[in-house]
Amino acid sequence: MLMLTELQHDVISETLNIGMGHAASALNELVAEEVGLAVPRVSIVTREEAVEMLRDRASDQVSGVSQDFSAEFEQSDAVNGQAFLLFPRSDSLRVVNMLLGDSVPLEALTEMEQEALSEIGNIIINATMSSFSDLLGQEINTGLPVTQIGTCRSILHADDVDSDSDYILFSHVSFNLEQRAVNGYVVLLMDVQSMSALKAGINCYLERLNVPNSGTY
Amino acid sequence: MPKYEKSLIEAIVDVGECGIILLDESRNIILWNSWMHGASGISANEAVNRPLDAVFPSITGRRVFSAIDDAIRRGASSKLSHALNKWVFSLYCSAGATQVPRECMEHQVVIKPIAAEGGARHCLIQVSDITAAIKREKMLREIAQRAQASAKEAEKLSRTKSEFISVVSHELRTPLTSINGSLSLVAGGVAGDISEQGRALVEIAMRNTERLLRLINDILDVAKIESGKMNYYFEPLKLAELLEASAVVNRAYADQFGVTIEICNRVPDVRVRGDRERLMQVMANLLSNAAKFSPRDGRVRVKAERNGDAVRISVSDHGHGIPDEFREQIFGKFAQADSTDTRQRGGTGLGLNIVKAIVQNHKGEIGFDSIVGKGTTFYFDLPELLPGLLPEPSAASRSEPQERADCDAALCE
Repeated sequence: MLMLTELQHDVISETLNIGMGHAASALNELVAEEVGLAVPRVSIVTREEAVEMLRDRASDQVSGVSQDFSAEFEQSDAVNGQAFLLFPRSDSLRVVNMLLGDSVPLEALTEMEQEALSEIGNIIINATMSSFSDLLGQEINTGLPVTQIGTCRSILHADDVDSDSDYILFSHVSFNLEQRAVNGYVVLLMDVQSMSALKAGINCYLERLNVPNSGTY
Repeated sequence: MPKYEKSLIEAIVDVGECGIILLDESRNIILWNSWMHGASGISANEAVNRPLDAVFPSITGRRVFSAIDDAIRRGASSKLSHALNKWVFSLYCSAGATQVPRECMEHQVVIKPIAAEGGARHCLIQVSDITAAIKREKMLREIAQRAQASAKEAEKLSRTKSEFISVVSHELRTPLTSINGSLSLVAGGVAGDISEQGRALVEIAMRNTERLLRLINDILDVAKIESGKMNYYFEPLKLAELLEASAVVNRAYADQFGVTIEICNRVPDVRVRGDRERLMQVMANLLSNAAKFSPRDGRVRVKAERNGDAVRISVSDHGHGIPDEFREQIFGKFAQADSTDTRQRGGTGLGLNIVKAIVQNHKGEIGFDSIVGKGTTFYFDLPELLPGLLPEPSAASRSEPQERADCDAALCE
C-alpha cells in the first residue's frame, strides 16, 4: 500500500481546500445564496475500501457526476484517472433545491435538475483539478461530466477491475448553505503511476518551498 | 482519417443540428456555423474574427465566460446546465421566425478544449436547443401537481362523505330509539287499554323501527370500517363458549321462522384471539341470514373444525341457495339477490360486507359454498391461539369432553 507522510497528506488536503474555495466562489456567482464548501477529511484507500467508506458515510445508493482526467508528464507516461462527486441518493435532490432555491414538489430529480447537479459536480471537479494542476505545475485536462446513479460498487467499478491495482483519494466535502449542511464525497480514482506522479509532484512542491520532507516513503 | 478540405469540414459543421463556435486562445471566433446564424441572426461573416464577448456582451463575468477561460488556459471541459444558466447567449427559436418578437430559445452549452497547432489551445462551444424538452418537463410537472391536488381533493371528499353519513346516522338513531321506547310502552298498556287492532298496528310500527335501527347501525358500522375507525378489543376467547352464546342469542329470531340451530363442535378446546362483540356480530349475521332463508322447520348447522393451522367455523342452511349471477357481489354493499324477496324477509344488505371486514381484521378469511335448491354454507377461518401463547392456561377448560362423534346429538334447541 502506498503511504503518504503527514506532510504530503496535509498538502493534498490544502490543495483540495483551495479547489473548494474556487468552486464555492464560482457557485456563489451562479446562485443567489452564499455557498460554503469545506474538506474536513482526506484519505488514500483502495477501491474496495472506498466502496465501504462511501457506503458507511453516504448510503448504498448514490448519485452525482464523474469526469475523466488526464495529464502528460514529461518524465513519465500519461496519467489518467476519473474524478467523482457523489451524494447519498436522498440528499442529491436537497442539494439541487438548496442551490436552485425553489422547492421541487416531485420526489425524484427530473432531467433538468439532474443536469444542474451534474454542473455543480463539474464546477467542483474542475476547480479541484485546476488546484492540483497549480500544485504540480502541470496541466490536467478534464473531460465532460457524466451523470452517475447507482450503487457505490457499480459506480466505482469495484467488480470490473483488480481493485489492488489502483488507488483512490477519498475526501468528504460539506456544503453549507443558509445554515444547512449536506455532505458530498469527492473521489479521485487513479492508477499506481498517477499516484506516484502525484507524490513526486508534491515532493517537488515541498522542495520548492524548502520544506524538508521528513518521511521515508 | 483522410485530410479533408477546409470547405468540406465547414460544410459538415453546417449540416449539424446544433450550434458550433470555435474560439482561438484569445477568445476570437474562428468558426461560426449556420445553425448559429439561424438562432442568433448573426452571420458567420459578422461573427468571425471578433471576440465572443463582443458578439454577446452579456456573457462577460458569467459562468460561461470563466468556463471558456478554464478550457483555454487549463484544458477543462464544462457542461452548463439550463437550470443554473438560463439564456447564456441571445438565441431565438427558428420555428417562430415570422412572428415578432421571436420566442427565446432555451439552450444548453457544452465547452471543450481543443488542441490546436503549435501547442496552442482553442475552445469549442456546442449549443443545443432544448426548448421542447423544457416545455415538456414543465408540462409534466404541471400534470403531476394537478394529479396530486386532485388526489388530495378526492381524499377530502371521501372523508367528508364518511363524516356526513356518521353524523346523519347518529341523528337518526336518537329519535328512533325514543319512538321505539314509546311504542313498546303503548303496546304494554301503560297509556291505557289498547284494542286488538291497535296492538297489531303498534307491533307493525315497532318491527319497522327495529328494522330501521338495524339499518342505521349497519350504516354506522360501514362508515366506521371505511374510515378505519372500527375499534377492536382482542382477547383470548373459548370458541365453544362463543358458539353456544351466539346460538342462544339468535334462537328467538330463528324461532320466528321455525328454524332450529344446532352446533357441531369438533374442536371443543380451541381458543382464538378475537373481539367477542364483533365475532358475536359475525355469528348473528350468518345465523340470521341462514334462518331467514331456511325452509320452515329447517335446521341451521354451526360447525367448528380444524382447517390446516386455522379453525374453520361454518354456518349451513338448506335454503334455496345463492344464484350464480349474485355470487360475485355477495360481500358488496347493499347486496341482495332479489330485492322483493329481501323486502319480504328483512335485512339491510350491509351485513356480509361488515362480516367480511370483521373477519379480515381477525386475520381470517371468509367464503361460501352454495348449491341452488340445496342450501348454502358460509365459513370463515380464524387463526388458532396456541396453548403456549395463552396468558393463563386453565385446567378447567381441558377437562371438557373430547370431540363429539355424533354431531346431530349436540342440539342447541
